[in-house]
Amino acid sequence: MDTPATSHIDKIRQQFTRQAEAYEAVPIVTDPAFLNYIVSISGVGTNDRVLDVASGPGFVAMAFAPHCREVVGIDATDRFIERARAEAERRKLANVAFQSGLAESLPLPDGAFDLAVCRFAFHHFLNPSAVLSEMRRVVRSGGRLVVVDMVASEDPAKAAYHNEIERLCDPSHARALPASEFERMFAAERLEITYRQTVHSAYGLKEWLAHGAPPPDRTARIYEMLEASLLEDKCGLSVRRENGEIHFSHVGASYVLRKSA
Amino acid sequence: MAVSQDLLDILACPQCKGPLRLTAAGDGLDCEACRLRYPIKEDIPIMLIDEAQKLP
Repeated sequence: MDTPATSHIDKIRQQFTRQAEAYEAVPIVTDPAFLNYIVSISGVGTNDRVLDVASGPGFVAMAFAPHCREVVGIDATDRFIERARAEAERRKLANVAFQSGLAESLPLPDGAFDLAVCRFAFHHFLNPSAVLSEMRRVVRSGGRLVVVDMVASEDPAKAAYHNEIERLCDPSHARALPASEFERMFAAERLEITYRQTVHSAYGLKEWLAHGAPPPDRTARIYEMLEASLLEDKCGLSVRRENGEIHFSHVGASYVLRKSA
Repeated sequence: MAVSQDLLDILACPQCKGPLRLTAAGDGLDCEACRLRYPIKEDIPIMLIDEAQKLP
C-alpha cells in the first residue's frame, strides 16, 4: 500500500511530467533578473560546490554554474532531469549535473557542499523540516543555505484558504508556510538568518492558471474562491479586479542562512 | 553520454548516506552497507530507496 508520502511524490511527478513545458513558461521561473538576484544574495564563491534542491527545469542550477566550481541539481521528476540535462548541454555548461532523488532523503554525503539552494519548492514538500534538515546535513560547517518560496498569511484561516486555491490549481501543492513557520524551522535547525527579503509578484488569474492547467470544475471553484475574496480578504493574496480580470499577488520570501561552525 | 565520474564520486546512498560502487556492467550503484542496488536508467541513476533492488 502507498504511504501518503509516496502518493504525494506521485502527484508531483504526474503534475510536472504533464506540465513541464507550462511550468518552464511561467515568467518568474525563468526571469533572469530574479535568477541573478538569487545568485547575488547567496554570496557564492568561484570555488564553491553548489546544490540545487528540487531543481525542476534546472534554471537555478544553470544560473549558478558560471559563478562556482560545480553545481548538482536534484529532482524527483525524471522528465525534469532529462530536460535540464539537455538544456545544460545546449548552453555548453560543463560543470552542472542533474540527478534523480528526493529532497527528503538526498543521495549525497554529509558536508559535501558549500551552498544549498531551494527555490519555489518548499510548498511542494509534505515534510519541509525533513528537507531543511537534509539541506543542512549536506552543507559544510560555515556553509550557507538559500531558501526562496511563496509564503502564506500569518492568519491560519487565510493561509488555509490560500492553500486550498493552490491545491485546486496544482494537486502537487502541499502547503505554503507562513514566514514565521519558516523562521521557527530555521531556528530549530540552528541556522542563522543572515539575509531576509520579501517581494510581491502580481499575476492575472488566467496567466496563473496556465501553470497548473486545472480541469474546468476546479477552475470554476478557483474563480469562486477568489471572487469571494474581492470584498473581504479571505486569503491574504491582495485579490483585486483590473480591467475586468482578477489579479492577485503572491508574497515571496528569500532567506540566506548560515550553518554555524 | 555515460554517467560522469564526477557525479558518481559525489553520490551517496540516500538511506545510510554511505559510499556507492558502480556495478561492473555500469547499470547500477551498489550500497554494500544497505545491500541495495540503485539502477541507472538512460544514464540517470535512480537514487530512490523505494526503487532500489535488494542485493542477495
